[in-house]
Amino acid sequence: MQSSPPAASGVALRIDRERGIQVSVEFLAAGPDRMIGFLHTPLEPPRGGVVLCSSLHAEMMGNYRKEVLLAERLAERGIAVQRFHYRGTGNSGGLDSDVTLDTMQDDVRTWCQNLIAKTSVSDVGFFGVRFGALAAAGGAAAAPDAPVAFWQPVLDPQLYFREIFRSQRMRELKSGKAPTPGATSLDEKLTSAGIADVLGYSIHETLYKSTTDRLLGEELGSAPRSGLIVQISRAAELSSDLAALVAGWNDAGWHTSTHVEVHEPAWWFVGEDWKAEELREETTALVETTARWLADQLAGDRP
Amino acid sequence: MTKQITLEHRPVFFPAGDNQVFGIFTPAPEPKGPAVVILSGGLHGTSTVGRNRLFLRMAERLAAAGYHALRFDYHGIGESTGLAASFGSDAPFARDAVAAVRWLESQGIDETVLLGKCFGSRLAWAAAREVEGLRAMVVVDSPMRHFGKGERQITKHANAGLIDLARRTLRLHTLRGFLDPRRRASYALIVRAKVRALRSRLASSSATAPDAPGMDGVSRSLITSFENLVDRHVPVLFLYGTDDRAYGEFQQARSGRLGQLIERGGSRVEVRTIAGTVTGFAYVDIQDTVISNIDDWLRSTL
Repeated sequence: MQSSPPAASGVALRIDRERGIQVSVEFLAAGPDRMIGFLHTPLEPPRGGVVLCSSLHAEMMGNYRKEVLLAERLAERGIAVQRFHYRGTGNSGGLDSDVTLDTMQDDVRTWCQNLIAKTSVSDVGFFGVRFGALAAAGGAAAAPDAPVAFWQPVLDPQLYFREIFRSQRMRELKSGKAPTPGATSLDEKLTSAGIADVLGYSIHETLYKSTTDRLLGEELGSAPRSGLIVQISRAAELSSDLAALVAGWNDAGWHTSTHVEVHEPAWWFVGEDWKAEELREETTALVETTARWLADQLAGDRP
Repeated sequence: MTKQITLEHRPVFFPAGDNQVFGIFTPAPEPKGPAVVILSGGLHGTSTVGRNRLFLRMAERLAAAGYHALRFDYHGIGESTGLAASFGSDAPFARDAVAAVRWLESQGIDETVLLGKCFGSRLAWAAAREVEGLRAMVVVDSPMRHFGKGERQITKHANAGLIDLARRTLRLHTLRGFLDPRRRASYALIVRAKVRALRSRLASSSATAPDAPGMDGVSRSLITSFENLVDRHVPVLFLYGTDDRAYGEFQQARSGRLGQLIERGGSRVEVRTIAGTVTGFAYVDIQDTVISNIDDWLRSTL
């Protein structure tokens, strides 16, 4: 049974007694500094917590429901999950032009503190999808023992942005539209205009430049921890760059797990074959694999 | 000096049937008119945000202009509960739209504007009759006929007359398509859709199925809903991009009953176009132009 009882002013609360979970939605701060957070918790005291870090732009939108389902599944397993929108994105306040990798990582740390304060958990893990992995890394770096789980993480953000821009131009060509005149590369576009319109999303120079020389492996720091890498692509084998990342982690004393989900996600292009995430086999596999791993790390025996 | 307005955004859950729908209510600091319920065309993500934070920006612009704004996730989408099994039928989602209006009424807000984009405009048409305090309606990139996700072209071909369909089938390009498994599969879908359309017309030939399009390509339920709004003297804004497929269909439909209703609506019905494509809100400058047009029209109309 679902209910939405009156909650403290400014907090929206939904309780699902059948599943033994609830979600409370609130804004931290007000005005342009406000940040929206979604705290999923079991109705019993949680055994651990996870800060869930979304990607940006179309990827944030495209992966949204999966993240909600993951948070709910973790809460069912006794793990509290803090989801949120970074400042300057989503329903949070602030300008998108002020978003940088550093502000995103600050936000992760802020929400980690909120998670601990609200739930009293002592063990916290970090989950990141795509660009969100880089943000999660900032939070995890401050918590040396914290397990991390990533879905198709962005390893090199500058390469990521350039690929998105190329996709945009390919789409223009495919649709028969004349390519946007002027810059032929993202660097040129951002240098000349400070902003690029990529499939209806504003990509700002500030964010792009903030990712210069920032790689996922380095953002996480060197302290060994447990890690899960989930590859989501058409390939049945782990890609060479992810395999290299995992090998580096293992050499540094990490305990790593990998999972390959053979599927072609439309990170930036939503296709016509829409289907509810709950009905997609790949979503069920992703959610179950990840929830099981994180719950084991936080509430079970660690290797 | 421009006065800086600090806006509040209130997260809410409200019931919609068996589901709990999540929304964000942005109250106008200085209310001047009705509340606007934003009905997105979005099928993924969260409709409280939209592409490039479009719905957040729209809500803030409306609230600053004096109109409370409510944006929400349909059931099964974003933060809302439930399972969004299919987008072929409007009914389950139109119920969400009506539930949003009921929530506003529970907050003491009795006058509403429905603002729907693409799929959301279909819901606005479907829900309008149940909204007693409807003060205006804005439909952006409104399709003229019903189709599920991914079925636009298929239903367009299926709704063509038999002779026209036969002519198209005999084109060299079409015949070549039989050699391609993917295109063969889409032809099969068209045939199935055509058979369904014929069966539907035969089954209720005296009162044709409400979602079935008439000869002018406009679904009957849309015409009925629009006629009701014209009779109620509810102002309506049709907003399209000049390159939108839906605009082409709209222009064709104007030659029929739709056009007669637009005439009858007089100054209360306005059609505006924006150069380019509004569909998908795929360009940032067009997003801004849409918001400005809506803001401008509401201020001049209400």
